[in-house]
Amino acid sequence: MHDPTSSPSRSAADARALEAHLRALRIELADLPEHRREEVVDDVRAHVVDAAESGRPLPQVLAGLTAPAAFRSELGLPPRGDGSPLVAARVLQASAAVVALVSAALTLFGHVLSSVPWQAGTGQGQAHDLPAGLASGSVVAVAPAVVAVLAAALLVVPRGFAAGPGRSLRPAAHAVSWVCAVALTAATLVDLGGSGWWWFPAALLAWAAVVVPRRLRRAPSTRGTAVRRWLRAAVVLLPVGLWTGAVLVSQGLNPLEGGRSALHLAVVAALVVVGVLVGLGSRAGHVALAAAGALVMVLAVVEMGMLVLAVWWSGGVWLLLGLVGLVDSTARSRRSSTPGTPATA
Amino acid sequence: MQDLFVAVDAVEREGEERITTSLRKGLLELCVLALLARRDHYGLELADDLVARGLTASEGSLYPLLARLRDAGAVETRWESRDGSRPRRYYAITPTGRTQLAASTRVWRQTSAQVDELLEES
Repeated sequence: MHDPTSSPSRSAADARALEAHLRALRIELADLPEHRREEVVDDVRAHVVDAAESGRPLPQVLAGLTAPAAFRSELGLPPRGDGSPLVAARVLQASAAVVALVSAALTLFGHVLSSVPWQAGTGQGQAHDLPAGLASGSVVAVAPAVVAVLAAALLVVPRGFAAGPGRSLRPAAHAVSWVCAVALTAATLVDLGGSGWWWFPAALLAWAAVVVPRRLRRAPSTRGTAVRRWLRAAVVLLPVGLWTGAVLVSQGLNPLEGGRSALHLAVVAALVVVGVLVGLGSRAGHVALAAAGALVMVLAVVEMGMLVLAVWWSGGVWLLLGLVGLVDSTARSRRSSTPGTPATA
Repeated sequence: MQDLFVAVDAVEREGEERITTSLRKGLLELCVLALLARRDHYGLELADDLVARGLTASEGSLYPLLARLRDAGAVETRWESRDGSRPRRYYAITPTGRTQLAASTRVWRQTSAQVDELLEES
C-alpha cells in the first residue's frame, strides 16, 4: 500500500507524533479485522499528510482528530477492556490442564499398581495383569484430563472463541471453564479415599479459572486486594514458621549446625523473602511462588515419600496462589497504563 | 448584575452549541453522501467542505463516519494520483450509498417539513 508519510518536508518529530497517534489508534481497534483496521489507519494518515502539506501545523491537525477511544466508540464498538479476565482465564485454565495431566498419570499409575496381584515373597507382579489395571483406571484418569486439556485448548488456541469484543472474555469460554471445574471436582470426589486426592490441586486451579476472571471484571476495592495479598503471604509464611520451629526443636538452637541445617535456613530465608514480596504485591514474588509450587509438586512426584499427598497439595496451593497473584498484579499494571479502567491495589 | 448576564449568556451559548452538535451529528452522514454523490472527494477536501458549510465543527469526526459508511458498503476508497501529484485517498459513493442517500433524503424532507409545521404552530 502507498505510504504518504514519506514526504521529506515533514520533520522527524512530526513523523514520530503521527506514528504515535496511529499506533494508539491501532491498539484501540486491535479487535477489528486487520483490513478494516488498516483502512481506518490509512484514512487518518492520508488526512494528516494532506493537512500538513497544505501548511497546517501538525500538532493542530492531530488535535483536531477524534481521539482513538472516541473513534472506537463512534464505530459502535464496546469500550475496550484491559484484557485481564481473558489472560487470567487462559493462564489458570492452561495450568489446570497441565496439573490435570500429571494427576491423570498418577491416577493411572495407582490403578495399575493396585491391580497387579503381588506374589508373596517375590515382590513381582504379573505383566499380563497390567492391561486390566490400565482399563480400570483409564476412565477415571483420562476423562477429566481430556476435559481439562480440551477446555485449555479452546480458551488458548482459537483466538476468537475466548476473546470477545474489546478483549473481553466470551460467556462461552466462561461456560467451558465451569464444565472443566465441575469435571475435575467430580474426579476428586469420585474416589475420595484413593486417587481422587491427586486431582485436588487441578480442581482448585480450574475453579480459580472460573472465579478470578469474574472478579477482575469488577472494579476492585483497594482494601480487598491488600487483604488478599497478605492472606496469600500468610499461606507462604505460616509453613515456614512451622518448619523453622520443627528444625530448631529437632536440631537444637544452632540452626547452622551441619550442611542440612544451613540448607533449611537458606530455604526458609528464601520463602520469607517470597512471602514478603507476595504481601507487597510484587509480580516477581508471585512468579517465584508459582515456580516454587510447581517445583514442590514435581518433588512430591519424584520423591513419592510418606507425605506425598501433603507435599503435592502444598505445591498445588502455592502454584495456585502464585498464579492468582500474578494475574492480579498483571491486571493492576495494565489498568494503571490504560486510561479509564479501574486500578487495583 | 453584569456577571449574571455574562453567565446566562455563556450557558445559552453552551446549550446552543450542544444542540447544534447533536443535530449535525445525525445529519452528517446524509451530508457526506450528498457531497460524494456530486463527485469523488479526498478526505481533507471533504472535511474542509463540511467545515466551510458549517455542517461540522471537527474535521476529525469525519473519519469514524467514513469508516462506518465503508463497512456498510455505502462508500469505497482508493488511492489515486491526479495531474502527476502525490497519490491521495479518494472516497466514492457506491450504488448502495446512492440508495441510502435517496432514502435519507426522503426521510429528511418529510421530517423537516413536519418539524417546520410543528414549530410554526407553537
